[in-house]
Amino acid sequence: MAQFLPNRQPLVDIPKDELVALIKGFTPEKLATFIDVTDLKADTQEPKIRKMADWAKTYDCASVCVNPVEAADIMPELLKGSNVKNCYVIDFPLGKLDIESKAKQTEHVVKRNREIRGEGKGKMELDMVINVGRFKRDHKYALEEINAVCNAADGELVKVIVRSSELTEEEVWAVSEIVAESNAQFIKNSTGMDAFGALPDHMWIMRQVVGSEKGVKASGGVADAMTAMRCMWAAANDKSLQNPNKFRFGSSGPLNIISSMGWLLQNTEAWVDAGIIPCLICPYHHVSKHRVELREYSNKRCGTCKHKAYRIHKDF
Amino acid sequence: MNSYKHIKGGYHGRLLRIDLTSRTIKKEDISEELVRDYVGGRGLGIKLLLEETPARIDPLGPENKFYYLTGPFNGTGATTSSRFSAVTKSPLTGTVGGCNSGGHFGLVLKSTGYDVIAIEGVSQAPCYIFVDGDNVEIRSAKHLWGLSIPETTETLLAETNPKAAVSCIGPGGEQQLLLACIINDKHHALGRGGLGAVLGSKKLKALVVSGDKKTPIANEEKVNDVKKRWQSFIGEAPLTKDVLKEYGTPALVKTINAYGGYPTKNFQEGVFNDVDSTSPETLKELYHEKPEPCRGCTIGCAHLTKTSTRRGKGPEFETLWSMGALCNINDFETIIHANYNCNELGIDTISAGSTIAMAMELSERGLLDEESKRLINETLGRELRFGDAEALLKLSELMGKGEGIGKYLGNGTKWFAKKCGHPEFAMQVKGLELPAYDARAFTAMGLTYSTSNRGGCHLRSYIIGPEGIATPFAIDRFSKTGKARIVKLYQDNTAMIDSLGVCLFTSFALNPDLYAELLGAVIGVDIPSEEFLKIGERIWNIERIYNNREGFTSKDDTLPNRIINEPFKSGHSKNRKIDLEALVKEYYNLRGWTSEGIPTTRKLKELGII
Repeated sequence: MAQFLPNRQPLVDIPKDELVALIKGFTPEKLATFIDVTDLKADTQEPKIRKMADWAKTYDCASVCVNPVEAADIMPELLKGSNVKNCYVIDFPLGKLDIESKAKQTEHVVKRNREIRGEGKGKMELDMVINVGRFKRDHKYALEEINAVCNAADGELVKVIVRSSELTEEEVWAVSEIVAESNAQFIKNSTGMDAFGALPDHMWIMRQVVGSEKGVKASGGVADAMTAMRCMWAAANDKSLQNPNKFRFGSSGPLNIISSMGWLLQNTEAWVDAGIIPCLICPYHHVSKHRVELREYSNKRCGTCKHKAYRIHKDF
Repeated sequence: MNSYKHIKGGYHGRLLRIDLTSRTIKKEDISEELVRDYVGGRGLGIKLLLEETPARIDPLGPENKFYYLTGPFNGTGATTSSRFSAVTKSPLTGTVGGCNSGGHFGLVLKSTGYDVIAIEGVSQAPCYIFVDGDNVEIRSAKHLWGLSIPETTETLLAETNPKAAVSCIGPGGEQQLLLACIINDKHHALGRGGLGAVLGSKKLKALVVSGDKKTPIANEEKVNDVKKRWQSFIGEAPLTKDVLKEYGTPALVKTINAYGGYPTKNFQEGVFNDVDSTSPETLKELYHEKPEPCRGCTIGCAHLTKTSTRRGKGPEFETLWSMGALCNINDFETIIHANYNCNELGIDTISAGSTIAMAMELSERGLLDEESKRLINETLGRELRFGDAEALLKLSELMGKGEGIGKYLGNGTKWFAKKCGHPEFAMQVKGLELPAYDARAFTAMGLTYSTSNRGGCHLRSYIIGPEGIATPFAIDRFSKTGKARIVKLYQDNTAMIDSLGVCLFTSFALNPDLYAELLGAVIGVDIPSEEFLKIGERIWNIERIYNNREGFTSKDDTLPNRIINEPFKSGHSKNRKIDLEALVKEYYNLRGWTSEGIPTTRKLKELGII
């Protein structure tokens, strides 16, 4: 297992051969099975909920991930009889409930979904948000709240959202260790509402720490097949990890991912060769929404980066 | 439908041939092999042009032929499937001249029962053609000569059939100006390459079509299934879901400007500082009247617009740019009026704006020839300078009418720069004015422009998708690696889209597999996506063969010196250069062409062309 190294070059250069081989091992249909079809907006309404369920069933996606209120509405019924799981977020998006409230919310959601779906255990998942502020000074608290949710989940799969865009690299390593130690089954980087979404560097760190026992979920900004495959390379390049129990990505645009995979499979080498401006997939580029201390941290990292010319001219 | 052996849908199998010299009308069968190998639209058009016209003819002479073409998707109800093509030899470039257009003309054209209308010869007097199903007439257009596009369209609908569709030229086409376009349904243009001048040279004012024939479909159930899936993808892709619906194509203005790739002041700069004055938000807030999408389109980018005094359609993104940033003009209403001028009088808005921008630069540098300088002074009462909105409005009108300085400017940048003795200021490739994505900011666009078979065109491989708007995904806009292969992929795929009869914007949501699947369902013959792209490659190569025959060589696959050798001094693409020579070399290799850009015998055999 790799270890935290101060000033390590972030993972923005992905070996071409490995990425090409990974992409060629997939079809649009296979890639779809890794998707948690997601909509967590405040103004989501029933037509969208129905559409998401329809997409997920059509393309055999892993789950439909929505706000907890949907557990008491039509969502469990819509997925009944299918392989697609109901997924609900807990204490979303800030993670600022106390431990007891988090657990109670979990219990309630599990109860309601099971009642309405009526298919027993194993048909739902829970994506909980940790209290990032508390984690920064009290790692034990983070472990405690994760395990409290896991207990309340009564055996249902739990993914832990760590809001990695609000963490230093050292903290990403540390929070991944906590999740590895916990009873949760997945670590997940983002709510999709944080400073930045899924970037290969953080996905890689998470996999390095949690190993092959747990899953890694990439979320936030996964809007196309290339972004999805870069994250998969970082977190699940080993074939044994290339199943929905070990890797997922959340996306509100599953059809765009499926369709763009069709493009990616046309001349894969060329698309990979064309590359991407490295800053766009670097955690130290997306600083505008950060607190000042994280901005300074990022600027320092940029100053030593071999790709800093891009940043000087802001060529992205 | 003709009794084809394998193909069971998508075609009527008939070509209508009209000779304006002899005034004869013939109805011919189209062979199954021809539609199998060249599909329809653009592909079928170039095949016919290559076989039916001799080399090196005068595009404005009697030997040139003009083809209106439909594709197998017209009339199937697939979203955006109202597009039709026109193919001829371009008088502006001397290359193959091919355009396609939306509106509803393409659907009505298909319903006449002909897949192709081929127009030959030259009429002695102004005329128009009325195709009403099997009844075909060549009628006098003396009363229409000199009328604007809206006047012509309204008159023709009144004297033929209100449910007919009209494709016509304006005064620009009548005067055979090299920038003349053809407009259908009042607002939709076969814009680029001077196709309107070809109709003008034949004294053909308009083609009016009417019919009730349905497009045969081989597998209705499967077609409906694929159409439904098409719609689900189009309904969810970021651009086709709502951005284009809300703002139309001008949605891109600020994005391209932010990249420092929005050519300003005749490509001297890459950032337009007044971009907010001509933003899509301003267009929507102040000038959008209502959406008016092409018939059967669910993307819905087209909007009717109005100002305090006039009504029309557009401006589109490219027009907003060529008459705005490129001329350093921020007066939105005047830009809109200049756009209306071009559309009503029948000249290409992109090339018109570009030619005026070049004239502004020549004028500021004191490089106009004496006659042009005098004519401009007579018109404006002052020297022409960047930022002169009033001049834009006046010059666009004169260009459309072919009056005064307009008769020179109306022939485009290459022609006008040559007249002034300074070809280096013409921002064109093979004679066609460049569009709004600067190759110094978008590398693959540079290769696209330089190798496009109709000259400097963005629509032959809309590679700005991945390079500028992360569609289908983002790639490094400055990198060279991989770009030649992606451009080839896009060129081949686009050749197919243009031949099928659907809109290029569908490719923001769909991939080659999905096009191939619908084609298979419509015609009743399964087409794997590899075969689909192979047909596109065949079309691309036969266009190249045509251009080679007309005298184009590898020397023409280039960009203006300014683009290659003058990096921007500011903006987010400053100091960037494009290594075009290396890209073109790699591209020729990929295409299986010689180092002179000529398709090898081996490649032509592989593609079944020989």
